[in-house]
Amino acid sequence: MDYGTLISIIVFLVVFVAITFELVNKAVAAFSGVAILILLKVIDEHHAIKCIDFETIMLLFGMMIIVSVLKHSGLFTIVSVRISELTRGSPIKILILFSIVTAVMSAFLDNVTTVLIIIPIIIELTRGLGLDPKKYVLSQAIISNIGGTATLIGDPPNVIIGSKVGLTFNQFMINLGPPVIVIFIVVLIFIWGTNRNQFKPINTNIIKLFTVNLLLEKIRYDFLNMKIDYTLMKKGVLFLGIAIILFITQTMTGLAPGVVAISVGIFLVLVSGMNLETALEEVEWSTLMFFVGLFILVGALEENGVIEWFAHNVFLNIGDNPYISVLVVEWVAGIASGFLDNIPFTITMIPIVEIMNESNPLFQDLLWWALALGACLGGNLTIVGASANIVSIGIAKKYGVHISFLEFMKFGAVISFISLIIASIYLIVRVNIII
Amino acid sequence: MSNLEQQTIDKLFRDLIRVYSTSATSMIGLDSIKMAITELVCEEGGLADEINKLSDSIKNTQPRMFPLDNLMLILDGEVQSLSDANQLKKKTIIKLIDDFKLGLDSDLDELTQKSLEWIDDGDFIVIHSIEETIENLIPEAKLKGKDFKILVLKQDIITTGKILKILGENNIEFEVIPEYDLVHYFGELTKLFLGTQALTNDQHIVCDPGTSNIVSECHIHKVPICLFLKTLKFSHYPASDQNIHKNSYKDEHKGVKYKYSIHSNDIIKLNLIDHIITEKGEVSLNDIPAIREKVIA
Repeated sequence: MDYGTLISIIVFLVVFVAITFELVNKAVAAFSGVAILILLKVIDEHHAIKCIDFETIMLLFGMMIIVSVLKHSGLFTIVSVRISELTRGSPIKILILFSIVTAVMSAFLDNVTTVLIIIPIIIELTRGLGLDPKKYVLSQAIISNIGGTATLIGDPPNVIIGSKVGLTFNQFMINLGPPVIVIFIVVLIFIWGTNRNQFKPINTNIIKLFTVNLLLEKIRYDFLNMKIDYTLMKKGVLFLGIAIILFITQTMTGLAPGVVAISVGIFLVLVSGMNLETALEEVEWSTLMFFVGLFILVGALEENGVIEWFAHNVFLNIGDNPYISVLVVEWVAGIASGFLDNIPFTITMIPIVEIMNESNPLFQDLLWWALALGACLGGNLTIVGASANIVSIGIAKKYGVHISFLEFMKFGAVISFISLIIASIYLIVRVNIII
Repeated sequence: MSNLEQQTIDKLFRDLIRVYSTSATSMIGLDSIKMAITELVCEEGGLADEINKLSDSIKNTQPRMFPLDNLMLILDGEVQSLSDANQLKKKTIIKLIDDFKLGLDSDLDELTQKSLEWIDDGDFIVIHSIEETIENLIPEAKLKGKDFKILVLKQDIITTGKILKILGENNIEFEVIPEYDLVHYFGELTKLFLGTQALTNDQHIVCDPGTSNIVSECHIHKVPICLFLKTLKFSHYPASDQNIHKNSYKDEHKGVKYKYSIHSNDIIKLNLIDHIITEKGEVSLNDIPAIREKVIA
């Protein structure tokens, strides 16, 4: 092993550990690693820049601007309050309606924004009804990860896979949409079935029915007290619609999702007249920096042949049985994403899967779907598996609802395994069709 | 009904009266009762018990909610007589609640009209918490072209925020000061306007926390104190039985741990008030017992 290879592996592993155990800020960890590699001349700065997948960064940046405008308009709050009203306090309706909103919002916007809006309202609503908010918080965090799996823009692993590999928005929807819908339904049935006493109807309890109405009034006051900018909201929704249409018609327009997102985002700021600084406040700069740093770190591993060695000696060693290959990619991605950050994991896995694809063209795009399903759904295994989990548990704590690592895992791990099993069945069926 | 359910209702009412007047909160309460009865699924013959259960819960809130408390006493009587006559139906009760709402609305209109004469051009009026005076009287007086200024005594951000919103939306001239700064304004102030949550049968009024100090100060400095309330807020309970809620929790400041307590309401002696104005006009202390009896008759 030469000097460059050894240093790039050590730096990568140290950064990975620092990220996983949250020893330092993720972006700081990744960029420190990059700085060390450049200072030690393992990689030069020009090559480092070439390793960055700007398509991914543009897509994330553009979507963050669109989300920022929509958030400032008050759209998410209005939707959540209206959903609360629709539930009329029925526990099962709270579960189903909020889950649908969470899943759809997570599929088209980012998961963290979704749970930031949904979790406070669902806690107020359920606690006010004398229900235990824990199950509802857990279910929304988990559903946000499931919903995000369905589209190219739903979850960072998909953004990375789509941008780096060149898979389109439609391909994601067509290939991941059906299993995600099945998983969503099965998971909701599972949550309902294992907590039936939590979801009893309240229409026989006059006190609860009375409480619901007082509660909805309080929620309306608390959450709609902010200024709702309907003009901005209309423009935001219109531009989000345009972005989605352009994503869907990518094969006709030839416009990459990153180009679409950043163009629509900036035109939205222009048309809405929103202060650019205000729009940029919501952009998660540290996340973008984190991505940039990781692309360079993995680029250095690729440059030094580490990825190729790993692909040949680990993943290609399992033989050329397509069933096994697809399932190994899915389950390794799933379990690893439960304990490690799924973003660096996905970035690392992409070149490995590329090599696997080259060695066996029979897979078509199946390995990418296996990676996406594994990396996204595995995030439900533990609290640290996905940003939405960490944020949900953090908000819940602020509201006095404490959910421990083990409590999350007891709930999340079962659901994660159910999801991965359904995804496996789907992948096996797909392999069968190909063969 | 569980303790937790009662505590939840109590807390919701306390939260709502921070941002709405007791009249507006009572309207929300009546709408909630209406919806609850509409959506309730119960056995035939079980409706009276369910309504009584709800009524008991509303009458036991901490603090007691007026005019809702009195309306529940009326509702109890109606439910009893309808039940005895075997005529108790959801529809009848909902009609009764609608009548309560109309009555509340009409009382509020009357109160606002009767109160308007208490604002004169050039007045500099102190206000403190959200009550009918803020929600209805002051905007109405402005609409009528009266020229006056308001001094807002700052409370918590939620309550004061709501007051400022109302004043701002109605283009009313105002100044905001902390409660403890009031002493510097006594040369300019012309009136203190108060609302109340209840007027007890032992001649006290139940007000938002902090009101007692302001009333005392204004009384000492001979600033006329005007109390505006609907007669439905005349309570049949003494001050000691108004279920004032005491909230205590442990706190810490720079390593010093202590217990922090706050009561939901102040109790103020009625004889500190100079003018009591209801929907029937100004009433004297002597008139109150007779009016109270009529309220739930």
